[in-house]
Amino acid sequence: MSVFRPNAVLQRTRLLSGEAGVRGALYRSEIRLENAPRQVAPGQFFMVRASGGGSDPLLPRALSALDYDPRRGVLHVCYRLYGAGTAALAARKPGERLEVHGPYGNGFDLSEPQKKQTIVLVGGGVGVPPLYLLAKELSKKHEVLLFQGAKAAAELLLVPDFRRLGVKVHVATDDGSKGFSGRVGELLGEHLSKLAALRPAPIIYVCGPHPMMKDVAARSKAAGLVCRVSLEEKMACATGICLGCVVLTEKAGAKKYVPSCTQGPVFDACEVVW
Amino acid sequence: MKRRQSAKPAKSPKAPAPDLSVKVGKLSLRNPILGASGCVGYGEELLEFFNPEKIGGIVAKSISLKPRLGNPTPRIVETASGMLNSIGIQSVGVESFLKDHVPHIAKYDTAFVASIFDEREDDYCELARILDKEEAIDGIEVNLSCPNVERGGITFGVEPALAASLIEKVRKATSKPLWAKLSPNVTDVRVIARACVDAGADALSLINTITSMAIDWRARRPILARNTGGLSGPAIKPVALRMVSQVHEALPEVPLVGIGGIASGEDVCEFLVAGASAVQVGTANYANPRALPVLVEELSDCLRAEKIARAADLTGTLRLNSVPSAH
Repeated sequence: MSVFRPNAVLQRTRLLSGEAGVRGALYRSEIRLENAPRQVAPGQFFMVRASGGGSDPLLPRALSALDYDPRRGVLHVCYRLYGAGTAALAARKPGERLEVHGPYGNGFDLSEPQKKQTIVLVGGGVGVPPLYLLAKELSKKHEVLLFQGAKAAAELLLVPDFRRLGVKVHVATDDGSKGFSGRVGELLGEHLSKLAALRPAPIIYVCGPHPMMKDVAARSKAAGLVCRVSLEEKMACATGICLGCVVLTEKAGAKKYVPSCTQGPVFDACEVVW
Repeated sequence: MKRRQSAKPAKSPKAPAPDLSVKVGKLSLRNPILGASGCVGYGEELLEFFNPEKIGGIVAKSISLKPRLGNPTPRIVETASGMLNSIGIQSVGVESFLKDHVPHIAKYDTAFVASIFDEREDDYCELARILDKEEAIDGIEVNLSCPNVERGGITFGVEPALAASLIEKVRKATSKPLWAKLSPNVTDVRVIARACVDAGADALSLINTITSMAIDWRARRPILARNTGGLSGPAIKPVALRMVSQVHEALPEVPLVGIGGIASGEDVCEFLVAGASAVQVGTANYANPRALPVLVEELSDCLRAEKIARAADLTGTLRLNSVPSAH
């Protein structure tokens, strides 16, 4: 007997890139939730654990919503196999039960973009999925551009899905196998002066590996553009009690560690101490 | 992989609900299940998940005299059936604790124990004096055992003379129930336990986390920013049970609060049998924010299935095997 009660069912898992079961592989899963929330805001995340009732893995993994169907209560997530938690999730078969709780986090503020404001999304790796849900909302009323970076063409995520929303997609790959050869920050840099000249000036939303977010935050600041980052920190509780996922922020000269689970994961890039 | 079958006891509709109330020294608790310090925030964070009147109480995250920033990140990493943390007592300071945080939980009829931590004896005493005046605080736990800060904390908890001196001074600063939280990172936990009790502690909480390391071999680096951290979770339960049993055997009259990897009602029963009057639950709250009230239900189910009328009747009922001398 255990306090862990599985409350969700894995519907299906697809391997998106890499080799099944091998570190680095990218997966997409659909999970049906019992007591499904009425809505999930872009940038919010769920805690997902595939333990089979045992104590290994002990902690759930924080996974951002890639998409959410409130009618059927189906959550879509995307994750990279990295350690025990994601390996256990990738090994689950359709119909098997999972423990899922959420949604958590502030999510992106959908009321922030003004009328006719262009939206610039910058994503890399498993930072791309939450931007998809954001694009789904914002593309209804705004012009949306996506700059996506990946190691290689095979790791680019959801490109056709973004295009179906009418998003203009620019890609960068480290090995040059598709699009711009180099870092996505450099690719953004080539467009930035033109984008910064737009009125109203665009908002930049970023989610991806830490060095990429740091780079894009610095470029946005230099161009005088508002930049919101969705940070990816290791989490244990998601409720603000463990203080494991804290981010060092600075407001009015005062430095403070704040939990990214409850006060984030979306932050004003200018407040983060990079 | 086959799902582990849980041995859920059959509920008999006729059996009356067991009496879960317990006492830790003078402090009466609705049931023996408390949220462990450092794992339930200041209590208010869990209010959206359950009514704290369903559990025995909350031991708040350790509070220092002045605000403390805490350690750099990464601060946590999962390990086999456990996790390491090196938070380093990130604290809002006692003033903000009393003004901004305690009022949220003070409204509820549940035990609220403050945990104190600082770098110097005088700071611990000042904290105890300040908290002593607060009606909302039902007890004070002295954190002698945080493994993640350079000064204070564990330096008191691994030296019997320092522990005794600190507890003696804090005892003079408060008339509230005083608990000493012991470190497992010692050769013989009974020596420190006795020193704290002789110095005036009303009860002992054990164990804090076990100093540990996790390594990223590819990077040739420890995973945590401060290299080491404290291990918690089911991985440490056997260590905690051994220590609770040892201290109970050495000091049978002293109330003990068992801590370490509790994740089921059965685990709670094991700690009670080993000698604990109550337990604190920490890491389980991370996997499930509703863990505490679920554990209360599970404990009740366990007692009912075994026809045990009162949770308190289990405390210290362990019968150690007689060990034949080696041939």
